[in-house]
Amino acid sequence: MNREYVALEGKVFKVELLSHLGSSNYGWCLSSLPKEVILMATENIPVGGRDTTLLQRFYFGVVGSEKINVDINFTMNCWSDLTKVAENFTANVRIVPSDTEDFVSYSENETNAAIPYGFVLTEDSVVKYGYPCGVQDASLKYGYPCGVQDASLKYGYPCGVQDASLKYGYPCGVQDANLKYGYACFESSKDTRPYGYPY
Amino acid sequence: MKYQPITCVWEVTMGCNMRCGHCGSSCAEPLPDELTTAEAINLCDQIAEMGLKWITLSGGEPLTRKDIPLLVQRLSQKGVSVNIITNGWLLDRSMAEQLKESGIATVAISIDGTREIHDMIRRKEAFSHAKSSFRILRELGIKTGAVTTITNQNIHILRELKEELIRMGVKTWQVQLGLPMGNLKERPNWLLEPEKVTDIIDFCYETAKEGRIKIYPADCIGYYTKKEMEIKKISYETDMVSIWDGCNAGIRGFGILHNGDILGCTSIRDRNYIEGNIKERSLRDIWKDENSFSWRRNIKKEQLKGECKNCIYGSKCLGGCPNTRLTMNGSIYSENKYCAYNLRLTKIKKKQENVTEVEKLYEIADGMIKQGIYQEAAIILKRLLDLEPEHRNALLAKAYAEYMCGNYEMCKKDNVKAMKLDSNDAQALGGYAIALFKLGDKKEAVEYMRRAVKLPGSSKELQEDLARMEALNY
Repeated sequence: MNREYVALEGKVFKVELLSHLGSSNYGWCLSSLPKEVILMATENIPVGGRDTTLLQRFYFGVVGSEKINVDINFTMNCWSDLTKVAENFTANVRIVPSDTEDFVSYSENETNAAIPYGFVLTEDSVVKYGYPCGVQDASLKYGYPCGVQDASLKYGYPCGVQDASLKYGYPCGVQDANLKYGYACFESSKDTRPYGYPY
Repeated sequence: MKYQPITCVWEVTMGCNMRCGHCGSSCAEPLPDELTTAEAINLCDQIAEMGLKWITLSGGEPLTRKDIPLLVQRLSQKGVSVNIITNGWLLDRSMAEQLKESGIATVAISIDGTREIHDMIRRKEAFSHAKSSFRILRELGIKTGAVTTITNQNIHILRELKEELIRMGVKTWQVQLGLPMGNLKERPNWLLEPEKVTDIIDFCYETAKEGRIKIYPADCIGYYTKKEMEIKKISYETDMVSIWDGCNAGIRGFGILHNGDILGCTSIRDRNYIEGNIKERSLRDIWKDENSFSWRRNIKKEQLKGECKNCIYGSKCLGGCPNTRLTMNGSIYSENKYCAYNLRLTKIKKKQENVTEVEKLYEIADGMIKQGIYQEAAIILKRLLDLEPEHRNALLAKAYAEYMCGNYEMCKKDNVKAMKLDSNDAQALGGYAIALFKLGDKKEAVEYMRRAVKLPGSSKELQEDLARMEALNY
């Protein structure tokens, strides 16, 4: 199985795969990574009201563009015996090189993006830069120093990307809302709505 | 108070002992309507009563005012932190000691180049005086900084100037653009080309990373590059910095002219921007007046021109420094060509001009949208639609990208075009409805969304949108 992705150099994108890790003990693992891409974080999210179905989310950052077309390979392994492999998946990534100045991520309609408040120099300053006030170590959470990285990165996860791609339940960051790799997942929806508007 | 001022700049006098080539106020002799000491002291009290935390005293040359230590003392005793910007000519030990005793927080000295260039811009021996002043301030333990106005006269020697400042023990450095006002208006060849802004940002970034002097680009330099964020983090010594949300004038700060005129910014000196005078009304009255500073307090992105009108940052920066646009193009609403992002948009458009592969354009734009690069996606999709105006997916994608850029009218237009291809396009009608909602036509928006959810291609997400809109509308 494979799917195509387009990713900008210097930006973050994600790959989402479904598994039944909780019941079958088989889950997706990253088996190879090109040097142009780094793995930044992972997330496991129960989906569809069924405890056994997991949406495994892998966040990747594009750090180079020596090769424009690269592959990221995944295998579905049994976690108690890693030699057993049930499936393979390849993400074919086309990298768009970045040749210009980097700008801070911002959209007035992005709910969790870095929409900071004015920098008010008062004692009870509420300087916000995508982090909830009062969280002292917001910049270092889950080991990922997001405070000094991209404006869209929060708690190690690219919140800007996350919210841009998930609108009213439709994960448009994923090429197909209903990822099926031999497992039944969401109720199939005929209409495709990759651009759900937040407001 | 709806807006709380925290800082102001007060030009205490128009008198000056120099005639700098780039002076924005064309300062010369003090003017007859300058505030008296009594009036100035009263103003100090009003400033403190309003709750301001900082004030910068400038001019002209503020040290030419004999009562300056008195003003500094009054303000600092009332809890306002005082900074003074001076050319250093009159800053001998005696003056420095007086300022220290008065409670001065910082003394900034204007330095516009290495010795030869600085003296050429200002006057002979100006550099020596400034250098001597830095030494005296350091010896007395007064915080000090340099301020440089960048023009074509000195942009090429910024690195040398940096080394000079570091050698003089200067710890902080503000840089700003020279704009065509006052004396500089008579010297158009001194003005920088817009492209130089990125060079200045690069220089500030390089300086900040070195860590030998803290550098502060003024609000006329920007905008929204990651390098600026890094510069702020380093210079302010914090990771918690926010992206710039526009000019302070009338929102968090204001300017005071020599005669007590109150305005949003001492740089925007046109009579139309004078909000009142403290000889006639109290400062509080002027600030709180709902008609005051309306040019800033009520400005909307839609009023901007050119690229700024459709810029993703437009609702945040509102065009950037208003004085840059006013002096360069005659209007505070005009496009800001001295913006790094504006330069970037020009580059992107040029890059797309010769691309003809429609599906490749769509693929890249779609990928960009998924990664939150909305503006660039919108530009690429516009190019695509120039080649193939009836590309349905591109219209829907562009409509969405424009929406995420805050361009609701354009979002509507693109969705209308998609609906012309298919009048039952639920996604297009739904997107149209949401854009309409954002523009404030809530009732009509709800009606359109009700139609959208009944269409064959509708989805449960549109139903949820409708429910949300109805809840917000009533």
